[in-house]
Amino acid sequence: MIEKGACRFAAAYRLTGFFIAVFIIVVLSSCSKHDASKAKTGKGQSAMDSTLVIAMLGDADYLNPVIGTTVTSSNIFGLIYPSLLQSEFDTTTGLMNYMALEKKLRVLQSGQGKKTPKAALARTWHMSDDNKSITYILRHDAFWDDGKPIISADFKFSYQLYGNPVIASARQQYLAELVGADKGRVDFDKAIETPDDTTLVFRFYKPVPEHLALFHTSLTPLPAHRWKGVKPDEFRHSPLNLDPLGAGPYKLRNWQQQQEIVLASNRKSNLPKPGNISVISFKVVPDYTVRLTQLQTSAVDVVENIKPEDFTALLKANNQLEIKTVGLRVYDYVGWSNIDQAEYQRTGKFKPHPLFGSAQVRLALTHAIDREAIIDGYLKQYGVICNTDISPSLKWAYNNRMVPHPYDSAKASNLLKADGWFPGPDGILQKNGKRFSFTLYTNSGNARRNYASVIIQQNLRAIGIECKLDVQESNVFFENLQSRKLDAWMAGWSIGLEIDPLDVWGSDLKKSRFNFTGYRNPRIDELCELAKLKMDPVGAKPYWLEYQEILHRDQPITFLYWIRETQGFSKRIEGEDLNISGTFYNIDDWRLRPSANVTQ
Amino acid sequence: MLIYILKRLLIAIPLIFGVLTLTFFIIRLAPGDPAAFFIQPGISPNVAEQIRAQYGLNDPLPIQYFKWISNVLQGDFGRSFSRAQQPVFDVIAEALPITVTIAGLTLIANFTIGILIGIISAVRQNTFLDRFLTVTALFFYSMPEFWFALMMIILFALKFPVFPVSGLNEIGAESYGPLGFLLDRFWHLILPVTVLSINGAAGIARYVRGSMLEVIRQDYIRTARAKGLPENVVIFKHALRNALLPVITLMGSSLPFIFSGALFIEVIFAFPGMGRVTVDAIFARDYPLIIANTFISGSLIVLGNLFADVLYAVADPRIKL
Repeated sequence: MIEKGACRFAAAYRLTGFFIAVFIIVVLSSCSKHDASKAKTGKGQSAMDSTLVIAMLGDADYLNPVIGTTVTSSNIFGLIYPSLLQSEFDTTTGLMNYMALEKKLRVLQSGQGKKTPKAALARTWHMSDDNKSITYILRHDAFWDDGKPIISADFKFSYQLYGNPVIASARQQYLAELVGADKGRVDFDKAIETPDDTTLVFRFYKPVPEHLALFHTSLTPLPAHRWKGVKPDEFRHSPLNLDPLGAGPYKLRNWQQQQEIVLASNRKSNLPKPGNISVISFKVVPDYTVRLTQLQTSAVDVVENIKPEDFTALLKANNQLEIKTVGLRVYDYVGWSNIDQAEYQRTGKFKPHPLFGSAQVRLALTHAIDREAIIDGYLKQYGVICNTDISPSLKWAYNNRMVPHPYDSAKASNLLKADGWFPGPDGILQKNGKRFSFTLYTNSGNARRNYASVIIQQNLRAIGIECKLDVQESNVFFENLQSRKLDAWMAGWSIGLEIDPLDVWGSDLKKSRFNFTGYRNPRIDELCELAKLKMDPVGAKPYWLEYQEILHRDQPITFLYWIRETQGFSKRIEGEDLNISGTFYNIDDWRLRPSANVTQ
Repeated sequence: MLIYILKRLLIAIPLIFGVLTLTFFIIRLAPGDPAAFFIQPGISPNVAEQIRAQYGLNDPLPIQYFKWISNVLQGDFGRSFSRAQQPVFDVIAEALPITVTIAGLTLIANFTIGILIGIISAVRQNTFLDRFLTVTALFFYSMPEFWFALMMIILFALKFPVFPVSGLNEIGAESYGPLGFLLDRFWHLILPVTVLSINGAAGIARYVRGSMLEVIRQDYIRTARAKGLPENVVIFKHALRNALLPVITLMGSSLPFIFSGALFIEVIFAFPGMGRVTVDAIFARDYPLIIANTFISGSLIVLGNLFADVLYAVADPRIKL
């Protein structure tokens, strides 16, 4: 009896111990996170009703405009910090427009241009007649969140940070035209002048087109009074990075690294106003399937880059969702080495690549690849055949007279025959004893490129070309590409909104770091330089039309398709206006419908 | 025993340094560049150079090594390249509580469920119940965790929306009060811990079953039954204690798991734990963070083995250290 009782007691004791252990573990874990960040929202559903949740693949690196480099970072610090000008992408022309309170670079057609300039810190600007300086007049009524006024000295201070090599800002390229930059170091005393608190003058060493001057002088400022004590070598790990002082429509409420960034509407902001939605939560959800599930269960409101293959199931499962697209900014291509890379590495001399050295062969390869099949099979209506690297969204410069090279394997075979390639005993083309066989490399983790590479392999096999596929880890792939170890590869570019392709096509391979193919055409260099000299971008249109014709003819790479990036949105979001400049570019104007009112 | 432990700890020091030195050179041999992110059109070519200079990567490798080792000897493992230059141990300190929570709960569930199933299977050997449990255990044991996790999400978050899919807490959970917050956290942990523990428990159950079967055939068990002890006492007191000896080794080797994290589960359920820290660091070529993680997991493997050996000696008086 006594033994049984003791046994039971011991069992109950162990069980209690077990639950205590579980409890302690959970308490410990939640203590570390249940910190000072007290939410002021209501409970459960009401919290969701005033909170917009955006799922992100990864966390922001810094919420500091000088050193933040990821897209997530710039989306977020763009909401926290004020900006000198407001910019918007004009979808009718494809040109960027810049606005101060009382001045606009371009006057858009009626119905276009929804963005108001109310958030701009500049009242107006004046470009000098020689295009070598720009003077901004700032508004008087703009204040940092601590009540201090935003003054011209903040800009000068911030530009010194952007240009400091110890800080190593990724945006230091913006300072490349300032006085002194041509001699290797910007002379800030001469390059940026602040005669009074509301006058800001930038001086350039050469004439700069107005739109570029506006683009390059409107980097986001930091509050000088807050940051001036921070030494440059401590800038990247300063605790101030975790507590940004801004003036924009939102302010940082809480940042749990690798988990969530929570922004709250900044009630004090007049730049342009407090954000409409009270709380925006950027949640890190690394797994794609889980992001999709969360969108489907309405746990999040926005998921970027949804694969076209998932649309049907997603929309069927939840009719509160919709798919939105932005402009054509990203394209995939197959890169062919135009030059013998090994020879170039060894001797610095240019010799045509034994397989891809001839423009005729490259054209044949483009004809051999069924780009429509890739689009129909994978991207569907979210893909457009790509002719060159000037996007159809940049309407002012796009050459719409160009006819895409169609899929035509007979023509491809003839072109190859004309170049001396004939079928060998194994069915693979040969020229002077060399088989047309190569490896097509691509980076891992990209389902779209995997899909395309298999089709390309089949297409090429059909005309007697052996194409082996190899997928490499992204770091390895990029390093091999840079060190010119690959003969053929599939990759993609996301283009800038200002056309400047010299980095990719310039004949000086030391300067043009991204000319991985080794394509060299002096006329392309000339056209790019001529375009840069035009003070009005539209004046450079003839150069860009010719540029596209040359690339279309020479086929330095096979341009595959433009991708319309597709974003999943909850229908409870209203007022969103997506375009090529970004999914979140007018997020401070978005509104949330209470969940009960969302139409079924 | 104390001398034995001290000896083992002393041997561990050069061992861990050897591991760290090897890691230091191996990761630098791997292709890839910590400053690769800054090599893209629109970013000045100077930036990657400046970043490399900041990280001290422009020095020759032996100099980098000596600088590094002298810092490590002073307890400074450096700052992370990829996570806003936080000191690496700060990064780890943020991730560790999350990993320890999940792994701690998982281990408790693993061993409790595993041992229970193992005992039942052994005691009811060759019955329908035993076969059912064996087949079920094997079924779960052979299932990949990430797939199982996705299936659980589809079942319990999509088809029957009972549990949350990801994160540690609901939006606005801070306003639920401490108890509500705690319960919410618990709610979020159910799916991941279930996934991890079902898989692990199945393995442990197989161990316990095997070892129990061996033990209950021993003479002293027959003696215990013969002297009229109740079956419960025979099984739990006499048989189980002896049968658990091999399980102790398992406990020791589970120690690194508690701190190194379960990558797939952390990625799928969006927990910023150690598994993600390690893998992100590898992909970003974040050398200081990779080395600090290697230091932690290396030390824990050594300590875990030592812990298992000591436990063995404690549990079994026949073993002398």
